[in-house]
Amino acid sequence: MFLSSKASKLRVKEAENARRNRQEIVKALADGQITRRDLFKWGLFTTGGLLLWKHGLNPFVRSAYASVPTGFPRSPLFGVQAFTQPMPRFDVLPRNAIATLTPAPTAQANQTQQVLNPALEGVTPGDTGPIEGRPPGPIWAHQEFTRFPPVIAVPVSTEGAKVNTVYDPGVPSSLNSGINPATPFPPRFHPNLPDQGPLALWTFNGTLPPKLLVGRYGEGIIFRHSNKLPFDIRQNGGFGIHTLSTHEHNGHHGAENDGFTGAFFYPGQFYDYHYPIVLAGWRSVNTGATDARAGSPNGSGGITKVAGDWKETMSTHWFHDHMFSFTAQNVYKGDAGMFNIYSALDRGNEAINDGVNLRLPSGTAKDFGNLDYDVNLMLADKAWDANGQLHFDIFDTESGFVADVMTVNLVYRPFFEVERRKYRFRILNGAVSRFFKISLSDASPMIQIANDGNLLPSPVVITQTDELGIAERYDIVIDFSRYSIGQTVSMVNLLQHEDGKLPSSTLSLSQALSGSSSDPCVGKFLEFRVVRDPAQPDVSQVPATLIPNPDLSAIPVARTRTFKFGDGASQTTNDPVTSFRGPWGIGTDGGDKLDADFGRISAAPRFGTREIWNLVNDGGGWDHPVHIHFEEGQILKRNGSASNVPAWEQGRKDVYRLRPDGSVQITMQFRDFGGMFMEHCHNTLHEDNAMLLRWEIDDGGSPFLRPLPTPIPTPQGVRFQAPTQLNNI
Amino acid sequence: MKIRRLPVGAVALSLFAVVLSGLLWWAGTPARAAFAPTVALIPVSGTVTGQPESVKFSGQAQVSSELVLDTSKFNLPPAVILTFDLSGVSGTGSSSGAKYVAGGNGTNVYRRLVSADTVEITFPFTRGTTMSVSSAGLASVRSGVVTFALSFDTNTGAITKGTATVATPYFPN
Repeated sequence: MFLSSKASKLRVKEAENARRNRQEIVKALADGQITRRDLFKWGLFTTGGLLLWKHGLNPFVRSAYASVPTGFPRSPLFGVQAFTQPMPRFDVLPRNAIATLTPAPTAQANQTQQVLNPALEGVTPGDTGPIEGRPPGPIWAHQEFTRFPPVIAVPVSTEGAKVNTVYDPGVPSSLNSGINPATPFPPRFHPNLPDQGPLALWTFNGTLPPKLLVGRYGEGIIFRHSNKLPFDIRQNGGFGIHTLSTHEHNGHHGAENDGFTGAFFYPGQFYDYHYPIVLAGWRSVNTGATDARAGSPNGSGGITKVAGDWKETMSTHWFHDHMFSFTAQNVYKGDAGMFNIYSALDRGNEAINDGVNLRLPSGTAKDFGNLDYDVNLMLADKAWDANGQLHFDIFDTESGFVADVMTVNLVYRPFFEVERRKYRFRILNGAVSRFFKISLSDASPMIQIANDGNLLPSPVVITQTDELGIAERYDIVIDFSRYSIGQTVSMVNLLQHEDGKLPSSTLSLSQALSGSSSDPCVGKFLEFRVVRDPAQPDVSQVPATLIPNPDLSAIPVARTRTFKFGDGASQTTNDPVTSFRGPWGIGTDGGDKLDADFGRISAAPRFGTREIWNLVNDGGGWDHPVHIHFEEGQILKRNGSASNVPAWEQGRKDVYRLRPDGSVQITMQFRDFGGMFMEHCHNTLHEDNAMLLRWEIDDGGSPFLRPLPTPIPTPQGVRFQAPTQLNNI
Repeated sequence: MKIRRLPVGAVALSLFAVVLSGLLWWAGTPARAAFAPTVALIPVSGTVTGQPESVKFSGQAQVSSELVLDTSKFNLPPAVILTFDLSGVSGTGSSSGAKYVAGGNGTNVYRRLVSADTVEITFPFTRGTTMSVSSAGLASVRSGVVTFALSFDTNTGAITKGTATVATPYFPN
C-alpha cells in the first residue's frame, strides 16, 4: 500500500487524513481503551477481516473528491540517495563459556521469584513472578539437557533502539566496505536519515546491524534472551507488543526451545533457549558417531564426529519473534537475526581439504566460521512516517503489508565492496509480506547452493532466483572475478507488488531496471563494487555434489494429511488468550478452515514415524509461504507432479511456497524430540490473522502426556489448561 | 494477558460517528478454479555475442502455462504462471563449432493474462552438454536473454502461438 511518487497533493492529503484517522485507533489500541477483538466486534473490520471501506479510514476507498485511490504517503527519504552508504555485515554475537551465565542455566525453568513491575498488565504492587518466562515443569524442561549439555552462552536482549558501541562484523574493515567497527553505530537506516527512537525500533541488543549467531554441531548453546522492552504495554510507538517468544528457524531441538507462539515471556524476564545443535536422526542413524561426514570442526583442523544423519546437515538459519498474533509487528520492528551453523561438511574454511569439507567460499584464517567471503544478507522492505520513524499499518490484516523502502541488513539500498573472487551470500527474506526475485543487473550467472539453509544435492546455475518467499533462505555463490576493478554490478529485485497478497507481476530485468514500476522496491537494491584482487588466491570450490537427500523410501508412511490454506476461516473456540479471529485459516483433512488457536491441536504425528503432508492453496488470489517447524521436509510433488519440482527445490526445505492456486506434497520424519510445534503461513500478516495451527509430538516417552497442556503465561507465572483438539489428530 | 480497558465512551467517537451504514459482507470460502497447465513448444533462435566466441542458439523451448483465476472477493484479474524449459535449446560456437547447453530450466514468471505478452528471461549457458559447474568454475558460464512473444487464449491461458529470440544481454549499468 503505497502512493506513486507522482501522486498529486490532493491524493497525498487524503492519504495523510486516512493515516491520521487510523492513528487515532492505533492510539486507542495502545492505551488499552479497545482491543483488536473490539474492532472486529464493532464492525470496523468486516467479517472477512478487511478494514471497513470507509473514506477517510481505509486507504483504498476511492476519494469523494476525485476518482483516485489513496494510500500511505510515501516514506520521506530526506534527500538520501541510493548506494551512498556501505552495507554493514551482521553483528556477530559473542560466544562465551557457559560458566559465565548467572544464574546458571537449569534443565527446568528457573522459578526464582522477583518483584514485578506494577506497570505490567495485570500486576498489582507487591506481586512476584519467576525470573525465567519458560513454562515450568518437566514438559518444558530442556530435552536431553544432560546428553547434550550447553557449552556456549550467548546472552542477548530485545530492547529499544540505541547506539551500538560494540559492533563486531567478524572481519576486518577492509572486508566490510571500510566500516570502522570502533565508530559508534547509530540506529538509523542511513547516515542522513533520522535515528530510530527506542519505541520505533526494537532489535536484539537494541542495536544495528542485525545480529549473527554462530554455532557448530555438537556444541550446545544457551541463548539467554532477556526481555528489556518497556514494562508498559502502551509504550510501543503504535505497533508491536512487549511480550516475546523467539523461534530459531528451523532448529531441530525440543519444542521448549522452538519459540512456541504461546510460550511468551514478559519484560523483566529471560528465557533460556537451549540449542543442542544436533543432526536429525541422532537416535537412529550413525548412533555410534563413526561417520566423519557427520561431524563438526574440532578447532584444530580436524573433525569431531557426532551422531545422526549427515544428510540432515543444516547451514543457514534465522531467529525471530513469534508472539501470537503479533509476529509481523515484532519482526517488522526489528526483532530478527541470522544463525550460521557450521559442520564438517560446511565448515566455513575453504582451505581444509580433508575429503569431507566442501570448501565453500568463506576464508582461511580460522578453523571454522570464516566470514571473509561468506556474507549474510537480510532483505526487508520498510516504511516510515513523516518524522522518519519506522511505521507499520496494523490494519493490513488481510492482504499483507508491503512497504516502500528497500533495505539490506537494515540499511537503505547500500553498496558492498567485493574482491575479484567467489563469495557466498546467505540471503534471507526478512520481510513480513513481500516476495523477492533476484537477478544481477548484468544478468551474469550465479550458483544456488542451498535452499532454506540446507545445501542442495547439487548446485544449480541460475541467472535469476526463484521467488524468495518470506522466511525462505537462498545461499548463492557469485564469482566477481569476471569483473574488472572499478566495475559495479547490482542485485535487482524483479518482483512487483501492488499489495501483500502476492506479487502482481514478474518483471523482466530490463523492465525492473527501467524505473517504470510503480513499486518502489523493484530494481537495484544492493550495489557490489569490485575494489581489488584478493590478497590470496581463491581456493574455494563449489563441488558438483553437495549434500544428497536422505533416502526415506524404506521408511513407511504412517499417515497422509492435507492442510488447506485460505480465507473465509471460522473460529470454533473463544479462549481470550489462545485464540484469535481473522480472515485467514487452515483446514485440516477436509475440515473447515479454522482461525488460529494455540490451545487447539490439529495434528499429532507419532514419534519416530514418517508422514506425507499435502499443503494446498485454496485460491488464486494469494500466495502462502507455508512454514513447518522442527523438521525439514522434501518436496515430492508440485501441483501433483514430481516433474514440477525445480532443481533448486529438490533438496530439503522448511518453507514451502504454494504459488497461487497451487499445492505442494512433502514428506517429513518426526524424530528425536517432542512437544508442541507450529505450522503457519509465513506471510506474517496472514499468520497473525490467523493462519496458524499447533501440531505436536506427544508420545515420545516421559514426560510427555497425550495431549500436552497449553501454557498460559502471565507475569506471575505460567499456568496450564487442557487443550482442545480436532478429531483424529 | 489482560488489556486495561477504559469505557467505550472514552474512545475517539468521531470516527465511529461517520461510519458508513452497512457493512460489506464477504462471501465465504472462494471457489477454486482449476485448470490443467498447457505446454507449448516455442521455436527459439538467435545469437549471443561476446568472448570467447558468439554462440548461435536454436531449438524449441517448452513453455508451460498455468491459468490462475481468483474467484475470491478480491477478484484479481486472471494471470498465468509460465514455466520455461530450455533443455531443447542448444547453441553452437561460431568459431569453434562446439556445443553449448542452455540452463535455467524451471524459471517461472507470474504475469497478468493478456492476449499477447512479451516475456523476457535470462538464462545461463556454457560450453558442453551439461549445465553443471565445471572445473573452470562459474566464470566460464555466460548469460543470454531470450524474449518470448506469446499469444494466449484468454479463456484457458493456453499459449496459442509464440516465437522466441535469443540475444546478448545488454543492461547498461
